[in-house]
Amino acid sequence: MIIVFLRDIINEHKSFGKRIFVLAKTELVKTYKGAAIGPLWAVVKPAFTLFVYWFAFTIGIKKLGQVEVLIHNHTLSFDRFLFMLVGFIPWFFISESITKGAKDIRSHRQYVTKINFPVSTIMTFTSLSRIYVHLALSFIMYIIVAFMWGTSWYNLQYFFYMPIMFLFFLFLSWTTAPMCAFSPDLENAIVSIMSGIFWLTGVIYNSYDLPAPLDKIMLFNPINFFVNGYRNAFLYDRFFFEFKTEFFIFLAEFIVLFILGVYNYNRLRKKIPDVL
Amino acid sequence: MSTFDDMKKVEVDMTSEPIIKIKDVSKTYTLYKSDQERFLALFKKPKNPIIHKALDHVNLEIRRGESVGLMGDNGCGKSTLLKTITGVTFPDEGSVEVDGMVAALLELTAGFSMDMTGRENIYLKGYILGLDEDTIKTIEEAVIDFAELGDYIDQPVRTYSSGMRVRLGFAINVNISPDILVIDEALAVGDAAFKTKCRNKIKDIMESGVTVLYVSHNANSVKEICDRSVYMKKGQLLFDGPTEETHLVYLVDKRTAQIEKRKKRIAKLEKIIREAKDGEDIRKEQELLPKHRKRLEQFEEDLAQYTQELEDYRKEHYGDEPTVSD
Repeated sequence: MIIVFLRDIINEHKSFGKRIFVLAKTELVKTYKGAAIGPLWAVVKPAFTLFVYWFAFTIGIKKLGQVEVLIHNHTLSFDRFLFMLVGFIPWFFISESITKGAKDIRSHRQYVTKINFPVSTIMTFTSLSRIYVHLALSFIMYIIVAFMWGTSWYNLQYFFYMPIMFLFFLFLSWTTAPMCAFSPDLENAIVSIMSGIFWLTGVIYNSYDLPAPLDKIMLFNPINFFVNGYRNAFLYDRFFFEFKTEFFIFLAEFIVLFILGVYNYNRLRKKIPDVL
Repeated sequence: MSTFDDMKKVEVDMTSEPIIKIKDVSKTYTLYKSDQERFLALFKKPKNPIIHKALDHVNLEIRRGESVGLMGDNGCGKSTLLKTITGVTFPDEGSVEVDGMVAALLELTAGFSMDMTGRENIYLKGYILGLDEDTIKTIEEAVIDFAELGDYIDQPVRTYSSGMRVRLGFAINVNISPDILVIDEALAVGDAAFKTKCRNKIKDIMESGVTVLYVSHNANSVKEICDRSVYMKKGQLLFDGPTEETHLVYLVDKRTAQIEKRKKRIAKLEKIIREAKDGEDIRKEQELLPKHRKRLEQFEEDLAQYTQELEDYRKEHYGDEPTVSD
């Protein structure tokens, strides 16, 4: 059944082809059009957020300037700024993807109720436009990491984590976007729990370094998989499969989310134009 | 005023495969009592929901080059039928097959991005409608030319007047060389000169053999454009035939319904007057009654006239034996 459902989504994308990339670009243009410094805002906003948190944790609460992480039975010590930076870069993408992804259909309402449009591609081209921003921010991050910490072959794992992250949150929006089209309650719920999710994720602190059983519970938060994954690639010099428990819990969540996404999208697709 | 009189009629090949094939299509809308109920409907089927039947077993076949008018009062299912043809909404039962590109002159400004320029929006809208870049490039000049926006074409659409936006939308929709053109009284665009231009353009499109679906409350304009029309009522397709005949059927049906309604109203008033107790104020009813009776008379006269006209029409076209029944 999932295969049949998935075929609809694939067909919608096939018929749309290259235009998905053009619309992703358009989406970016739409966001930054009319502002004097335009696309620079994509960097300024996260940079400011990062600065504020860094300020609070390093200058404000002085003893939190360093982070100690136990990897391969060695304790690595990181400057809080570097540690936070590598965590924040995926987080910016993730938080945008969760909140904006849920609104995707509602904010492109005209495409759904006025013209014949392959609705599932809306989520794809908006996700793409977010990943473009993410790529740019990652590049800046990598320069900083290279200077502060150095480079290694493990860095190439970025090209594993980044596409998986793209897919994971695309699948999530297959569930959330049609549901939010039905009722804005879910959208409000998501926005209100986002700051909670931030503090339950090891963006600023090290999620491995919590008293048991919290450190185990944290493994069930899929966002931690990416935040720690980016640190695996850039800081810890560790492969993604080395921490098996973390990897397999994530894999299970990934599959469940995918099935749920395909199921919910197909279940609600034909009803959306009537309720939006 | 009319520019359609001298239009060349396109020969329709009645043996060809239909370009639009609507087979036994039904559609119901679920009306949710509240936002809470709509939210719950995400997870389980609502108990005894209010259901509005928008389309009720509709069958319709339209061939390439035909122009078909849709008649019927508000809420009869015309818009829903058009939406299933344009692929915006989906039938609950039955199938809709459309073999070609549909351009709808319904939502002319749908999909515009206000912060982008007119030119950028031509591309955006083109992509949304399913065109590739090369195709859009070839129509770009024609669109800009037709929309008469001048230097404004490189200004953000948010600075446009609503008339300018509609003009741009119209220009894009008519220039994408569709196979099927859906028109919902969209001829009223801009000033008189632009209106004439739009009508001429539609005429050109029709002469080139494009299939046209036309919805209008103005029977005369339907007669001008469409040889064939269908009459819809309460989600059902009641009559399908030559426009003139369909219009008469529509008028007869409408007057019959109006007479029915008026009679009920009169009966109600009479009852109030009859059963009024002494001292009760019935002046208003007494005043209204003759008015209603007069309208009823008028309607009955109309009905007789339309019935006669319909009979004459059928005699003239099908001989003495009526071959088409409603």
